Amino acid sequence: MMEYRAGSVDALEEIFQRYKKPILNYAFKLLASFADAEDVVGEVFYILTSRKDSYEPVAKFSTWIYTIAHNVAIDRIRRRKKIFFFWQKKDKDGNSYEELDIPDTRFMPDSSAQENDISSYVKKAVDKLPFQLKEAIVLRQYHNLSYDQIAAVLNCSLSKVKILIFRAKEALRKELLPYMEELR
Amino acid sequence: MIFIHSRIKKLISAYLDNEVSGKEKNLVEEHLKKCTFCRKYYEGLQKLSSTLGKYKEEELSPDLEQRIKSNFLGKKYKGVAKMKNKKLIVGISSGALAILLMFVFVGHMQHYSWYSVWGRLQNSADRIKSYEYEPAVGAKRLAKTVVTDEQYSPGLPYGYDKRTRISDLNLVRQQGVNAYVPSVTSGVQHMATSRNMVEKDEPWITTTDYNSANWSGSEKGGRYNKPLSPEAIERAAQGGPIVIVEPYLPATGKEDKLIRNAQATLEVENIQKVYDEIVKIGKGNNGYLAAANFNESTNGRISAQIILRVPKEKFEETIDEVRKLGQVKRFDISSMDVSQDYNALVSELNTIKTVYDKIADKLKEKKTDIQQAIRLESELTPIAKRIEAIRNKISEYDNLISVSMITINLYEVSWKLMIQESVKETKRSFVAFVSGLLRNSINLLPALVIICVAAVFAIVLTKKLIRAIKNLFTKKSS
Repeated sequence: MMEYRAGSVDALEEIFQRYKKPILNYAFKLLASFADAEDVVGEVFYILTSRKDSYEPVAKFSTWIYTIAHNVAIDRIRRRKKIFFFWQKKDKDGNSYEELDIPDTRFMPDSSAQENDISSYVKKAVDKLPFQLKEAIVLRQYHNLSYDQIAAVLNCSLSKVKILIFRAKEALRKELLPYMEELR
Repeated sequence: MIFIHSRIKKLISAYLDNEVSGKEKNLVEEHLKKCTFCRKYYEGLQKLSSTLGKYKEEELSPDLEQRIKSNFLGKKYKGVAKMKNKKLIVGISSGALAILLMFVFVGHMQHYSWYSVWGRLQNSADRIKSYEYEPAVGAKRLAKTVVTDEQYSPGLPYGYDKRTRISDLNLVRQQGVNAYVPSVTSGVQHMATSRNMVEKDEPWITTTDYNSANWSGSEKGGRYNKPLSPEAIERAAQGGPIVIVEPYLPATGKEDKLIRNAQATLEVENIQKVYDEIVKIGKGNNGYLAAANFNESTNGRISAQIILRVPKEKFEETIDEVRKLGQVKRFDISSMDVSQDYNALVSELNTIKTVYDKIADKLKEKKTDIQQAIRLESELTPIAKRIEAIRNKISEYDNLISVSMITINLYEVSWKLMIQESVKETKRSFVAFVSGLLRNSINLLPALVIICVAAVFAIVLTKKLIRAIKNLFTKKSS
């Protein structure tokens, strides 16, 4: 990043190649919409280029870029709530969902492969998590961020991160228990 | 015991993630050796971790990747789909705003037309009918209605005021007469004269020429564009509508008895200085200062009115000099031709003088007896009085003609005041604008609500559609 700040375009290319996929998947898991996730990628890299001068190498670069992605995703959810508040419906568990949202059929169990099946169950289970728990476990599980880094991204204390991850694991364990048996 | 387990469970979670201190690590490892329950939990979490790993990773669609790269790697990047959506939202909302404004405008116009244009049209239609079937009646009625404003108003189409009437008359100079010919607007012929003309008692006659084909055009209206024949004027004298003619007075020459006055409004920086200048100009042109009046208004603005009188030969020169004194805001020069009055007075004076002289001669004759002398004397007195009055009037005219009056209004420029006034004016117009907008908006409130709801629906549905299309594409590409 410091190289990019100094004016190297190749450095930016490298950052993009390294982080495009992680950011896309992070946003996709948080927002459960592929189009939104792609938008987030675009926006994150836009912010990264436009605010390159505000970057200070006090923390890891990955923390910085995930913090940007976190803020963009939160912003998107807020906007979504503003526009769709009258179309939202609550399901049995009290989670709100959008009635008109187009279902992402790629993970429907029409695929015969078992891998895909488990993947779709995992996706469902992760989607069901409350937002904060989801974010904490996603950052830990799929992006290998340390607890300190997660605390920085979520802007909370280390002990809270520990509790969030523990609760997320508990919830996921309960949800995925039958499939874990299957796996054995 | 339960307490320990629940605490250890939290630690196991962190232990698996390598986020425990050395002391905690020992504690967990010790506990796991002893406790089968917690060991099972530990194994469960390990399995969970590998199960979660089955989550299929997504790839960025190649076209989006290309777009992002080409857009911001080295160049400006302005969002991808987000900006597209933004543009759409801006487009739709500005469209909605435009429709709204159109509604406000149309509403306003309808409001106007209902009370004004429609009224005019109806009135016009009625009048055209009356011309068609009873031209003479219509003509007479019009001829009557020209006389005064009070009688005039009801006969005119709704919405016409004095100014409109005058502007609707075209001055045509033909065969030595000034003819006011009405132009036809709103599909109806109407005519009038200004009230001033009547009050001035200038010679005028009303003509009617409805039947003599001087009207070109159909019942929809036409324009009087043929010369007035003497017969036409003769016929017109019988009473009727349409054309008023007044005798044409030839252009004024040097011998004319003209009263010439001027009125100027100037904006100056220093009133006192300009006043001194004006006095100097007056003296320099053999004139004099007739009156001066200084005034300070409540808002602190100093103004003055100065009246100069100068010989008529110096009139133009004086005006030229006065105009240079400041910024001219208004300038009027008026000339009143009193030749007719003057000549009439002179000839009357001559006639009366002749009579007076004759009577006086009679009186001088020695044959006249006392009785007769007294009678002649009493006859002579009013004549003498009349002669005196006429002479006074003539000398008054002479005075007015030979010495022109120039009235100069002066205002001091004050930036503070100008700013204050402009602020006041801005405020006033802003309030008028807002209240007008508000009034119209309230009138259109139901439409407004419908438009707003429609706009929101349009935005939301467009967004949804875009997302659906995008999803479709990504599905295809994947």
